Amino acid sequence: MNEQENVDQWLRDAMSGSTPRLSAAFDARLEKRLRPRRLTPTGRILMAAYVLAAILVSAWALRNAALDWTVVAAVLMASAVAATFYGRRIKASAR
Amino acid sequence: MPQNARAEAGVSTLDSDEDLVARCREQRDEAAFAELVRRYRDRVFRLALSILGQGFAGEAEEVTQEVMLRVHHSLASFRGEATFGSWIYRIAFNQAVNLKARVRYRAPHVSDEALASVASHEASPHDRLQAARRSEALHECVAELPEVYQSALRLFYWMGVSVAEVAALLDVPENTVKSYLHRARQLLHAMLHDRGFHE
Repeated sequence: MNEQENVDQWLRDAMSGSTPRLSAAFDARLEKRLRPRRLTPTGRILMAAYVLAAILVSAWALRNAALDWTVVAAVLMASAVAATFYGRRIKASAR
Repeated sequence: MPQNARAEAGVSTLDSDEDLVARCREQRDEAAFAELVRRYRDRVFRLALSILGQGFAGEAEEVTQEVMLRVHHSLASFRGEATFGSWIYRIAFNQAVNLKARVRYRAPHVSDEALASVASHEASPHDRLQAARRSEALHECVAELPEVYQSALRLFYWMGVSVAEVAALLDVPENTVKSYLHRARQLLHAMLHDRGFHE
């Protein structure tokens, strides 16, 4: 037997154990990871309430800083646009 | 996905990978993606396992899941310059090599069952012990080879994958796989010789 045949036989002997297989739960786990995560109805109500409260508090704070209503509106609009833009970017990168 | 569900979703096992990829990209067709997963999950798992080695089945499954998620997220950027198979295997190879670098501190594990199966072919207790030691040394030597050699050896010897399929998984010609196997055996022979194992 030459060296190639020897090592070939040793490899066959050493690697004769059974090969593992994917677990039966693989498909279900993958499907769960692929499913888009959505807020529950309660979660949506809470989120909407939080956003509304944040807008009101911000408007009140900006008005107390003696800013004009036009400036307050512009700052709030700019914040909303920025939040929408970054939200979309995060969503796209998670896809 | 069961066969009936596939038929209802308008997906056939006869659809080409390219058709399924196009449906995923253009129509966000989840049934087409499920069919791609069904076709490739076992091959990706085997490829990952061939890189990670024995005793790393859990990690190989983790790699398989990450590969499928990455494919799902990146299908829009797949330009079709290579085949879908080559693309997914390349992702799997890189993902498994990255994971292996993180879990390298773990010693390669050879099951008692595997060692016993090696030893049982030999006659005397001395020969059985020698065969078990050689087998352990062989696994250690394999782990020192370049990644592609390790992968080719484990696919071919451990998983019984044909040279043609090893070539497809590693995205190289068949002759290159034969050359990997030949060179790997030469290196292993020299390494075992250095460790005091002779014919």
